[in-house]
Amino acid sequence: MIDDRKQPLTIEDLLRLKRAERPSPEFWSQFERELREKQLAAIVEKRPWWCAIPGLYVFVARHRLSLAASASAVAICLVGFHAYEATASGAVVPASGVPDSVASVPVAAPRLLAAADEYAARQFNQARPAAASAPASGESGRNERPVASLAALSVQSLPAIPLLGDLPQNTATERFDAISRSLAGDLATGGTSMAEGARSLLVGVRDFGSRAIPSRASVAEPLAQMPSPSAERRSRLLAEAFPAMAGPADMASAPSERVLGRLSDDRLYASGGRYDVATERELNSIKFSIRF
Amino acid sequence: MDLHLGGRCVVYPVVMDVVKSPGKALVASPERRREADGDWEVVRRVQDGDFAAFDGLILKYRSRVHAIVYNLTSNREDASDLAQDTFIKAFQSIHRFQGQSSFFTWLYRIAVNSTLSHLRKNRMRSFFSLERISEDEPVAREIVAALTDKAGAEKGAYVHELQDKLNEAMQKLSIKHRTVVTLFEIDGLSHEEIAEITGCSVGTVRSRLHYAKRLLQAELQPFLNQ
Repeated sequence: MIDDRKQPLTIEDLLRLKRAERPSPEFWSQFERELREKQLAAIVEKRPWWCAIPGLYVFVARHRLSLAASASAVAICLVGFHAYEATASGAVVPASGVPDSVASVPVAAPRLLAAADEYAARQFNQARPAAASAPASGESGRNERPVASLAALSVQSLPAIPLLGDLPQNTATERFDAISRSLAGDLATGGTSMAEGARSLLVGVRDFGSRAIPSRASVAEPLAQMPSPSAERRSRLLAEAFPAMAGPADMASAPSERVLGRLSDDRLYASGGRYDVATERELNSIKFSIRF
Repeated sequence: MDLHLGGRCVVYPVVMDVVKSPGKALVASPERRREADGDWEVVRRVQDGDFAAFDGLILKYRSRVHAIVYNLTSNREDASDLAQDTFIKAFQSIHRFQGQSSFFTWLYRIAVNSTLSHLRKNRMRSFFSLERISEDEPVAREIVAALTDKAGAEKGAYVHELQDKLNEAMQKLSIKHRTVVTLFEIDGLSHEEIAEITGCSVGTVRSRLHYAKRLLQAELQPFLNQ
């Protein structure tokens, strides 16, 4: 073509040169292999997401008991944590108008504090008319002084106020009066700080410890309730030796005292003679062994 | 896919089953018609479930599909991937092929649209990875001989430089012009076939071809004047 026309090259001739840009035969083997892989991947269709729903249902049906237990445990934990947070958020309530030494003392939960405030205010209102009419008594002794400090403090800062309600009506009135006078004296002299007053209050209030701390029921030791092997053995021997006086109830509990209380020397000698224990020394040893 | 809407060519991504081929059916030569009939029989077998028959279509058209993709991208790796994707898309959509156009045209349309989508996505990334010019082609051997005789240069280096300049000039064309030039001058398709593949009118194809040749001639003028 080029030789025939002997003309300058055209753009078509140059573009025809690009037809000769061809890959090698090795390229086609790789091309076919990769195309086969892609074709197989295209045949295997991807499962849509909703095909997993029956499998999920089977899983839930198979493990529903454990799932329910897990869900219950999680719910209980959440509720417990929520209740703990609600309690912990109101654990420390600073008292307004109270010195730092007193305000720093941890008080009870706000709900309990509010109930105590209301109770103390009611008691105070009931006691004030009576205190105004009653003459000043001379009971402002050393024992009543912490109670006076307590009443003079701010009502909000005294969770121990309900303790006064336990007193009889006239006693409470007198003590409120004494409290007022005692605290006024303390504040005037400045001899006793508020913290010391509160501390002595907690110590001096009658039966504070038994009220504040609930008394524990006495717990018997399990080992102490069990009969000792020696006691059982002794009861068995005595039952064999003195069948007339050893009943089942006596054998079961504390045989020594009962047997010794009922055992007379005459009967002991008679029983000993029946079992060929003739000597007095042997009988004494029997009696000694019963006692110990 | 290019659609001719109100005299303006709008380019859409590949949705082969939605966009119908515009205009009249392809005006084909008797060889193309026989070829299209044979392809249609194979396509019917594939549609009936004989998936192995599709391998014959791959063997028949893989070099031509690869050639058009390579000449559009000037990158051998991209051409390999895009040619494979073309056959995969054709395989997945072959049950929707109605035979309104030839399988060859349908497959070319998939290849062209896949390549155009790839070129638009990677507009900023453009580098050459060229195949070696085969000396087995008699036309190529004659052209190379004529060029080296005139230039008096060493053959290998000269051919390498010419190949670089040629691909560089092709990549300077717009995608639409490059497509028309590639389909007409390199793959040897007619104007009607290009119009059906690109979805443009024959006049638009001719216009684009003329404009693209002018640009290429300006770019490759040093080689043409030797």
